[in-house]
Amino acid sequence: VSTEAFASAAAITAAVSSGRATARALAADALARIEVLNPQLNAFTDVTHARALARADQVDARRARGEILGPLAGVPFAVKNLFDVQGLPTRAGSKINREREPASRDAVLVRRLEAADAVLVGALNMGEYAYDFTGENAHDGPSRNPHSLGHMTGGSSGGSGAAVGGGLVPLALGSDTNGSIRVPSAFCGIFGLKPTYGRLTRAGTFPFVGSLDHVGPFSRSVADLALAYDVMQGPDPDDSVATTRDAVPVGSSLERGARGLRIAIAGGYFAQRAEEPAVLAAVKQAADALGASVTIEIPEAARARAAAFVITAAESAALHLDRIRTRPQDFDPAVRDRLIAGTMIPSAWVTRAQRFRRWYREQCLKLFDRYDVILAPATPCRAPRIGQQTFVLGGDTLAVRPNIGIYTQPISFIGLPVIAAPIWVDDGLPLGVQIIAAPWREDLALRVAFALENAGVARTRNPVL
Amino acid sequence: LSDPQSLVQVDDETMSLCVDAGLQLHALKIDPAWREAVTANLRATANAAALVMSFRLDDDLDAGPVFTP
Repeated sequence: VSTEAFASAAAITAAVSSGRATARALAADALARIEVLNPQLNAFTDVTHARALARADQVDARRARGEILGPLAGVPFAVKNLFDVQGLPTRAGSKINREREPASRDAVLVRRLEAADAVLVGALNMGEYAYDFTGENAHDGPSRNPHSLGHMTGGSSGGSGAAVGGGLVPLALGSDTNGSIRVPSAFCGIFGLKPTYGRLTRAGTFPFVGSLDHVGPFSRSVADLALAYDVMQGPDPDDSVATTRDAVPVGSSLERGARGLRIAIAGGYFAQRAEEPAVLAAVKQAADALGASVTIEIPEAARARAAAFVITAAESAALHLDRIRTRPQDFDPAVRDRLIAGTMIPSAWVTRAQRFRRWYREQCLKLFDRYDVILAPATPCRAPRIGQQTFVLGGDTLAVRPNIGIYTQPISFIGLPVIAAPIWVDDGLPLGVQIIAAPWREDLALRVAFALENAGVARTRNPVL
Repeated sequence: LSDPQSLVQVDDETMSLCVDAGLQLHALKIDPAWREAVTANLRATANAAALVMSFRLDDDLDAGPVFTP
């Protein structure tokens, strides 16, 4: 992969807006990289070749007419294949959904990115129906970690991690119900933003667990996350949980960095079960760079993770019950068996979990009276090998698929905004640190991520492919 | 206050009966080969639920998602 493949979205838009490059040439480059590298990475399930070139030509034509281009001018991007893309069936990683009628229009966030003059180049591999932390897919094959092709990307937005980490595109979208943006970000060594629950509209995406589903961007720089996030904010009546709050642009606040922010480190649950010392070393690197030394306990995090687990199992099973009843053989077996079990959950468990969610939210919000940002590990281990079924955690042998998200689930459970920032503690595979802020304070998490990036602590590496 | 209630520790036979009941309730037909994994998944969720159900909560605490008309 050439160095240009790893150009940032900010650099691309500057080049296109100034006429130093054309959107068409950049789209053609991205399409060529996808053609060459996708057989290795298996990141893309659909490449929107003709659409991308046509869209890029429109961007170039607008510049030729003297129009001022949008903030993502000519930036190639791709979306997890649960986002509607006009003309494609929204497969959501499944076999069943690819029989759906092609989407009649794009998901709202795709439209918002293209309204900023970005160029969609395709749809990305994902775990079936997003019930996944591995990046493996029984129908499309596993997406592969760009830093070690025999290892997982993490899921369920595995293709998003592979595409951005591998230099195929500088920007991708994914979804995060329990960690599906943060886990692939950590495993693939890139930045990911899971915004506050309700901040970015999910309209035009295939759901997994409505009361926990979020969507957000992946990139190789914090500035690129902010660029994409800013153009995607805004109310949307088509998503019942989309906020009616005013958009809060974050791009202009990044430069303030971590100055004046009170930063704590999550201990307790988040420090007890790390699989290897490197997990906590990654958090320490970030904390040291930020001058953070206070360790706090997020109360009842283990119970929060358990409650998220119960809600996820029950809601997803209810969503898929008809398909499970009529076409169980067409599911990924690992997803199918979880969904079947999920149909048998007593409602009292789910309601209690949702009531606990309220209690847990109140306790966590108190922490933000004293601290602006909390740091925590993103995953308990580095990317496992593709096909690996179990791993050892705190002395226990656990199934990989449901347990990679033990550190991400207690955070998304109450919809807190989080950046996953990539940390390399040695020459091995990367790890991620969660930078967690109070609801609606994505700006603070991004400022801290920006400070870590500027300090050289959070950074991407260009893989050799 | 709600009384915190740990779930009864369910033995394998009882868990298997729960699976049978669930399958019948939803008119689900499964390959016998899937049964072990289904039961293990229900067991994992029961273990998670036990942690949730054993926590004392005030009675006036609303559930997380609140419908807005």
